[in-house]
Amino acid sequence: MKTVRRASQLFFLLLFLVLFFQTARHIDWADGGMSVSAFLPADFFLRIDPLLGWTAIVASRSLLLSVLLWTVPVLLLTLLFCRVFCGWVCPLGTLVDGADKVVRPRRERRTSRERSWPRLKYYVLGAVAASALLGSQLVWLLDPIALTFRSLTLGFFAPLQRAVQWLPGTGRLQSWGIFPDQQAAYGSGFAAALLLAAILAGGFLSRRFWCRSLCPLGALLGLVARFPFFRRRVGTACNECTLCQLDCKMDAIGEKGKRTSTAECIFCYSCAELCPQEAIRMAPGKPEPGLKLDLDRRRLVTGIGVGTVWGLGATSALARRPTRDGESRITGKWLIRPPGSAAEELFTERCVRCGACMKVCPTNGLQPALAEGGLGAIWTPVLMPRVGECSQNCNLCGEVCPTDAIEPFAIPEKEHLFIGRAVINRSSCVVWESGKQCLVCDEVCSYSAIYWLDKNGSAVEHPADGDAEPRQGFPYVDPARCVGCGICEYNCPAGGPDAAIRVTRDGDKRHLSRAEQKAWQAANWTEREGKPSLR
Amino acid sequence: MDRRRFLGMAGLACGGAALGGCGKGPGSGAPGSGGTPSRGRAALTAGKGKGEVYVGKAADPATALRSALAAAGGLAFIRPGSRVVLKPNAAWSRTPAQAANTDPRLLAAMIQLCREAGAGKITVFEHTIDRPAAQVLAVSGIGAAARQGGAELSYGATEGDFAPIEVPRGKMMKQDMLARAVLEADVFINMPKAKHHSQPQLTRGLKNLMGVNFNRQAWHSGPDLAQYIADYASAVAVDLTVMDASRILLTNGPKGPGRTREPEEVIVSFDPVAADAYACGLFDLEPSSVGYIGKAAELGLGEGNLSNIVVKRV
Repeated sequence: MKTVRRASQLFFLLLFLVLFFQTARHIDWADGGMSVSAFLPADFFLRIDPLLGWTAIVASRSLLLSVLLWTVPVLLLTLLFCRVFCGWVCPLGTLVDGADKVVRPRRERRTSRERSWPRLKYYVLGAVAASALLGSQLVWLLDPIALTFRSLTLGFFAPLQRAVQWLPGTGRLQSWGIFPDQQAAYGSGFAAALLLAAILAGGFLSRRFWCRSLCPLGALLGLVARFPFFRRRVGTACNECTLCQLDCKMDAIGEKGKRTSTAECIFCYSCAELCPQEAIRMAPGKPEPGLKLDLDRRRLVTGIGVGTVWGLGATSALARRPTRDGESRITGKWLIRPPGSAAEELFTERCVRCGACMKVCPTNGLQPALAEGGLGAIWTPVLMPRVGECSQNCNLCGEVCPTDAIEPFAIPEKEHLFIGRAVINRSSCVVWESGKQCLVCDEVCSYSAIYWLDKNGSAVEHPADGDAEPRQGFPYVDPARCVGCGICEYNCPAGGPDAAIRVTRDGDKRHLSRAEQKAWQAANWTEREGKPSLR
Repeated sequence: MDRRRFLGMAGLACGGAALGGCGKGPGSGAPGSGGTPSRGRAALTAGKGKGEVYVGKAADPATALRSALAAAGGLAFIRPGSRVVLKPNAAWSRTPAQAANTDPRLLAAMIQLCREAGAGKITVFEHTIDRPAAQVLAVSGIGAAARQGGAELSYGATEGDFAPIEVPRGKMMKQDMLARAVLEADVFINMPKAKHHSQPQLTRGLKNLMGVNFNRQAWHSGPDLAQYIADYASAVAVDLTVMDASRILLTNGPKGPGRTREPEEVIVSFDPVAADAYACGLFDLEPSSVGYIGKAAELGLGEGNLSNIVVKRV
């Protein structure tokens, strides 16, 4: 069975990696349509994770039935076989097993040489639950699936692209559709990679240190697994040699090998195959007393307190102050969210920071936020147009979001999904500032939002006969056409790192429904010569 | 420390080093930076057909191309086995009906003609502006045309695909970048789209060469874009210009969408300046109002004065 378990671990790790790399654009050469190519939903693992689903439901105060249904299989598995998910399925668990083999020499793989704090994870879970109740996500930090996906995206994907480009004979990678056209780069990628590396280094303290001591999903499944149908059973042949107790990598066995903590047992079958007496079976039957889960009430309260402080802090952070016009409640000037995103508060509550949208973004423009959105928005996706624009014919971020923080949208809808508005800085624009012939923002604009007037805002005069040089026009932005995609900012030749045309959150209309945004556009529309009419 | 642990640690350290290397942001690089610049070759057709423009007219651009090219003397300058690079305009994520890119039927016909003329490897090169590049090539039909014609499709997006070149005749530009595919080609055929541009000083053919340059943004912030376009054209050997005017974009160019008209013309010329000067007429513009045409003529790249240009319609 151990071999079967290992095969299962490898299978799910490979599936996770395949889905990770398939969270990429697939381009239809016939019409240029893009889709996420996968036989399973690309966010399969994120969806089946009950901790992610439930906290998203609690934090956003909305019963997302489809989210709930996806989490049922893992719960059923847990009710049947304890934390079999941790031992057989979880990709991070498999990575931890692999790392343990490296950092712990064989002779040190004994519980007596290990240090772990099994109760700590329940306090982590308490903090996660408390912050979710207060309407702010904390689960993203330590949920194993979200964490692994994010760390791979932010921390390892870009270096991998670089490495693959070094290899000879890999040819033109952009045709694979796996990597963005340009070398990918993610802000705070190092921190994300470090978090994963630190978890894998937990092997220095004990095997499966993460799963034993910290994982909030493990804690949740441990609570569910109090009375499993199948469990480890020790027969009368047991001679109390304690080999299994010393060998158990979850430290789930006590009382000279006779008793089991179902909250810790990951059904790895190691003990059953090790037992010289062949006294151990993993079998169904009536419940029998296990090892007690002895939570320290004071520490649990501390954990809940941490979550409470976080939740209160995050929901009242600087970035959420009401603005003067009352249009919206966040003030982060450069906080441009992907199109289709829910209104800011709902967005940060739903977003589990898995990084799938950043992974799939073909221009690499979606970047992890650091402090732009306040405490509650760390590692949420922000469009940074100077890195990459929001491509007009792309809706992949909405397709891959597992919690509908970015709601799916159709490509034609992008014309009235206002995520920001471009603003021209007249002191660095080479036309406004020094009268040069530049029109890049107009050339590249997908929505025909740049128009030309003279310096005073009047129509540009046409040159009189014999006047060789036409009168100069100056670029202006039409707020009803500009949706804030940022292609102008990406291509603007002026300003170095700081373009002369920049998208600010000023035009963000996510607090309005899609129909309301469309109506706003119609109400503010100006027909302009040569430009397309309102659809 | 045993071997397994050592290898594990070494792996971690390498991973860390690789991570450190990914801090470099995209989009760096000034024009003409890096490496010793090479000098481009002279055009195979240099001096041939100066001031001559051949205009084919037919509903099918392939037919128009064949008749115009026959009148111009064909593709005899392509030696058997030559590496040919075709540069259509496929910068925008727009459909052929929106007339913002070169018509894929024209590209397909050109690939076919090059093959008939004995060309070896044929490469279709474009450095798209909209992204992702593969999607742009799919939407514009250019990708399918290249693939069906058996041509290599090259959409150079990274700096490594470009090499520095000298601009010996340039008035302002002394050095810039050129796509390696173009630099290493035996034959280079420019296939621009005739279309409106929101500022009348700039339009059409020679400007299509911006697509074989890496950092086109830098030109705009320079002192004189028109001079840059002319200078750059003096350093890139264009053996033939095939301009698509089968359907032209009249408003809201260069990306559109806008109004279109169907002159059903394909313009063939060995003189890139004359081709551009002729195309001005399609938009009721005087060539003198298009800054770079005069500047390119001054550099001796071709004939910019309509009264000296012979137009042969077929």
